[in-house]
Amino acid sequence: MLNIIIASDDIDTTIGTNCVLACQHLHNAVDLSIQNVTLLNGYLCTPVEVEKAIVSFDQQRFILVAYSHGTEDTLFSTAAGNGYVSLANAYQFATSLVYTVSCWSGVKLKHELIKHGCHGYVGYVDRVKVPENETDELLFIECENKGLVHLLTTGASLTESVEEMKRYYRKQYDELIDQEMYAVAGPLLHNLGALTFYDYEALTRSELESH
Amino acid sequence: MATSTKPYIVLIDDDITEDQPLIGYLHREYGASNVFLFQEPTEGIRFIEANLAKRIIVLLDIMFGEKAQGFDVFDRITEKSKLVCFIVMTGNLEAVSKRELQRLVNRHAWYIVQRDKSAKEILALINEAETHLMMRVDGALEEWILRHGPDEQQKPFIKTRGGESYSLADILLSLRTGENEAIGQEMAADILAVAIDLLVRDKSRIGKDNLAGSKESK
Repeated sequence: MLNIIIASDDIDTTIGTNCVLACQHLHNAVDLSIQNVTLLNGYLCTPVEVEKAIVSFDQQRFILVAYSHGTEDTLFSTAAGNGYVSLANAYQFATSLVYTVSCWSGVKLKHELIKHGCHGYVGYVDRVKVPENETDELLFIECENKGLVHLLTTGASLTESVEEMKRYYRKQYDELIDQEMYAVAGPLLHNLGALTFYDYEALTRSELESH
Repeated sequence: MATSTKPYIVLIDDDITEDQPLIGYLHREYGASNVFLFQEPTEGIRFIEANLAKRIIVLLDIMFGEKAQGFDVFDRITEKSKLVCFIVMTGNLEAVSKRELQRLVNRHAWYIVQRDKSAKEILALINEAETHLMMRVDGALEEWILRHGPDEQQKPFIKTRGGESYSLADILLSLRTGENEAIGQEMAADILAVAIDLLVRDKSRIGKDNLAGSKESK
């Protein structure tokens, strides 16, 4: 069984709907019904609730999936302006994979998490742009979730999954170019360029389950 | 991303009158409704400020009587928009101080020209300025935004997971002034990155046949 925390700032005025769509997409792409999933959405998206969930996993490995805003040193939400993941509680993620679509967290937070023994991280080192148009928005979400979906639905390692994610970004980008949608293709290419990851030692789904 | 409409040509110069050959050339080339002459600098500023939604090429004289008021026009407009293309005319290039020259260069005056050039030479410069405007990615993005109606421009266009949301109007303002966390420049850079990516990765998209043809002709 997988231990998963899904942090979703679905009450945020700018990206709340996007967080809901991203969450829905993940649930449609991966059967999580028999997994140990803790959804921290709305006002539950706080460091206190994150800690409670981690404690409940009893030191087993877990995945944090974060759909929210971010800065260089935090993943933050409407309920936790100073961050539900930050430099202050990075030590709690020692046995985890942190998979986030937030802006900027690859700059500092990633390294703090790694310093504390985090096994894997996927995130971004720049602003992550998302179109307001829902069709394009879903396309961006598919790209952003691809690495996690691949990791959880195949035997691939995190590194291989991120490589697959990059290929998928490229494929979607090429389709936008074919449709001459340059103003959307540009931000997608930008997001791909901002993607960063860390894979301690070829982390796979089975390793996340078995410890 | 080629431009589809002619730019406004704005002349701010107290020595130019409607009956001079340059005005006739400009009317023929750009259409009379796109050519505007102001002998008063403040009127020129007011007009440009009210028309920042248009691509504008300004032919600006520095000296108005004894005063170098052209610099005020230049400063006032370049504070609001970096996309207006200035051709600065001066009676005596040597008389422009180092500091003033620095100001013009730093704020991207496109051309500084001696004012004794012929009307045809000035027209050629304006033509070049138009090409320069067309070749700029930020200019192309600006024009693409302006092709959307006013209501469409106000709708949210892109958001970030850093907490910002931008309409096309926000992006336009950013292109011109650098405001809104420089999202306009960032969008222009994204589009430039796409163009570079296409050139580097997939040459067929820019015309494999044409490239082959040009090779043969060498």
